[in-house]
Amino acid sequence: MRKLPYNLARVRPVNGRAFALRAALLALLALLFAALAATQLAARRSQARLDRAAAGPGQPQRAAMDQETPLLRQEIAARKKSLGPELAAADSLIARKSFSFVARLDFLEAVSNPGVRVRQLSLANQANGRVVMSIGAGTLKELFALYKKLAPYELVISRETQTEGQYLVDLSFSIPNEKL
Amino acid sequence: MKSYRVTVKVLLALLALSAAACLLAYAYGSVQDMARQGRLQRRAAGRVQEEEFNRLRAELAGWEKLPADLRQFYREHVISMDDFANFRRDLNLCLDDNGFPAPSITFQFGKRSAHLLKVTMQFILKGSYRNLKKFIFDMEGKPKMQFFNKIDLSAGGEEVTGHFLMEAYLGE
Repeated sequence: MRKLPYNLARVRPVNGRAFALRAALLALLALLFAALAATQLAARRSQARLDRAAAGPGQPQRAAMDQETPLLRQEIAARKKSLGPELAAADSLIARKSFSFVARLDFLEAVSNPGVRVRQLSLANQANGRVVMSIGAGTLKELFALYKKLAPYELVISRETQTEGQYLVDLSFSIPNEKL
Repeated sequence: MKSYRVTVKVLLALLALSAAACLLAYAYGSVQDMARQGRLQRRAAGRVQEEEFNRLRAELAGWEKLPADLRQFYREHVISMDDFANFRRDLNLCLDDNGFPAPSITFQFGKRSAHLLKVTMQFILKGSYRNLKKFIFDMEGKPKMQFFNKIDLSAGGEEVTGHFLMEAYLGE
């Protein structure tokens, strides 16, 4: 019969390898937590440094701007009032000087077919560049080819008269400077 | 056996300490983040204010520069009273060069406004389309403030008749 030892005071033997493994695990965990804390603190410090570098205007500067901004607005409003009409007149002159009649005639020459004859043409120096004209076309094909070319330019056909062998049309279209 | 126990205790203490430090670091980070949000908002408002201020300063600088620019514009592009005779000579020369000798031209002098006096000219030209277009081209190329206000062209036979309405602006 096998004898069972019942000595509770006896110290159990410790497995050295298993203990070393567990101790290493604990040490690693402690190191991991410490590294996380250090990383977090380092990130905060670098963020704070960046924030300091990108700092906007300070409180005294903002107070000065608060004080100066209404004065600037007043000054601008006064100058607008005194120089505004003169500036508007100069702007209007420049806009009208930049209007080109020749460019519009060139455009008309480019879109007109040989079978289309311009009978009357009226051009005014206005921002929308409205061109009013009366034309005569020999065939419907030529007439519609012209309509097709003028369609993107707000073409308005006021009147079309069909006579023997000719189509007479009053029409208008807009060609502002930007489209030339 | 005792040394094992001491080792375990030390390691557990170290683990607790590092875990606490980690927690504290993250808590500190969160508090910092909240404070930073407030700072960033204040800074963004400051930037907007600074940009607006700079824009106003630049606008004012533009307005301060404007009188000199307008003077230069008048000097270089608006016809002076002395130049008006030259302008009329130029117009006649341009007409002559394009085969339209001495048409009758009506000059109408308007009211002076914003330091400018408007002169309206009306005339009728008859000739080939090519010559009319060349005349328009030549006049449009002049640097001073004269331009066509309205042109009506009507074709009749071989000739084209052009009704011209022109404007010139005279300075002081």
